Amino acid sequence: MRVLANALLHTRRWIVQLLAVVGFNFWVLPDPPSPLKSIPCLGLNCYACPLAAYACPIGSTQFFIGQLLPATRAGLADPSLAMLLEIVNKAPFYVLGVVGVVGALVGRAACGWLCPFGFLQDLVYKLPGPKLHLSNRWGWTRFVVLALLVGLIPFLVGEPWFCKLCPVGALEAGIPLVILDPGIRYLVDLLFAIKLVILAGTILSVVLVKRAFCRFICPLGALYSLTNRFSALKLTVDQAACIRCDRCREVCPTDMLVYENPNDMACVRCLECVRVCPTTAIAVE
Amino acid sequence: MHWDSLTLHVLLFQEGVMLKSYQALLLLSLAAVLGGMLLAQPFQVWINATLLCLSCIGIG
Repeated sequence: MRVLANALLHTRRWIVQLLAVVGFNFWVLPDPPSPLKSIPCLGLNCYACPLAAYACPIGSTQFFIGQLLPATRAGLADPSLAMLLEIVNKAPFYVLGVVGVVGALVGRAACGWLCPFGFLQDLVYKLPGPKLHLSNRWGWTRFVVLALLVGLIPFLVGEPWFCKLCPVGALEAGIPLVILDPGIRYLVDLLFAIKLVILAGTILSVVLVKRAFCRFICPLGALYSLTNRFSALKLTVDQAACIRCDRCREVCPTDMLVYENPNDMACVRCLECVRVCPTTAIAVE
Repeated sequence: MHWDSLTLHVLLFQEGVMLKSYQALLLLSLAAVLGGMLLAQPFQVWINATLLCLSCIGIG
């Protein structure tokens, strides 16, 4: 882990982010589809994107959860070992396990280093305009999105409602598919317009607020953020050496006061604060 | 099971075998991945991800 931390500290993050965008979206062949789509992507990257090589972990989770209720009903109607296995098989062990493995090792680093939409937000925030500082205390909202749109609603209605509203899906898949495929255009209706409004609102919010989507909406970020407290890769602050200059907050993509809680759930482990700390009070544990 | 600053130590299998929190989470997650693989969940993920998911335009 120390070797990884050292490597990350000496690597330009935007290069890794750019490589991740290409690495997650390089499958140019329409047929056969990418065999790598059996593996969840480590960032929020729509699997309906024409170039996507991997599966979206949030889309895949909803797919499993959406089948859980019908499987449970069938199991209750006809109790048997086979039906019990069928119910168990509809729990998203595999997808959440992959997220858990990454989270256990590096916490939310995938958000900071690999997520294509996180990279886009970093770039968009550099656009000129008024900048607002929103407290990460509002970060609980992403857990509401996770619980309702990824958990409860897909469980009850069997449809992936986060995907239906997801601005990443609109950007990476919806808009390209509508442009490229005339057969899809006639399917477009009000909900697509709503998705475009959500996308526009998200982009606008990201001009104003650092990584607003990651901090307040993203359900994958919510899952990863649960692991920040426990992960092998952690930050420490030497409170005696810290001079509260706030340089860490200036460079932090999630607007954290690092010295208050270096392993806050908002931290995306970009390690920018470690690089800029004038007294080297912030370090990788 | 007890909290020690930010580290959750989990007593596992026998007295004296202690895991740090990330090791416990890692083991649990690896077990979930392996269990899912035994249930052929990667194939289900692949099928779902290779279907043209029309949720990206708000339907499907």
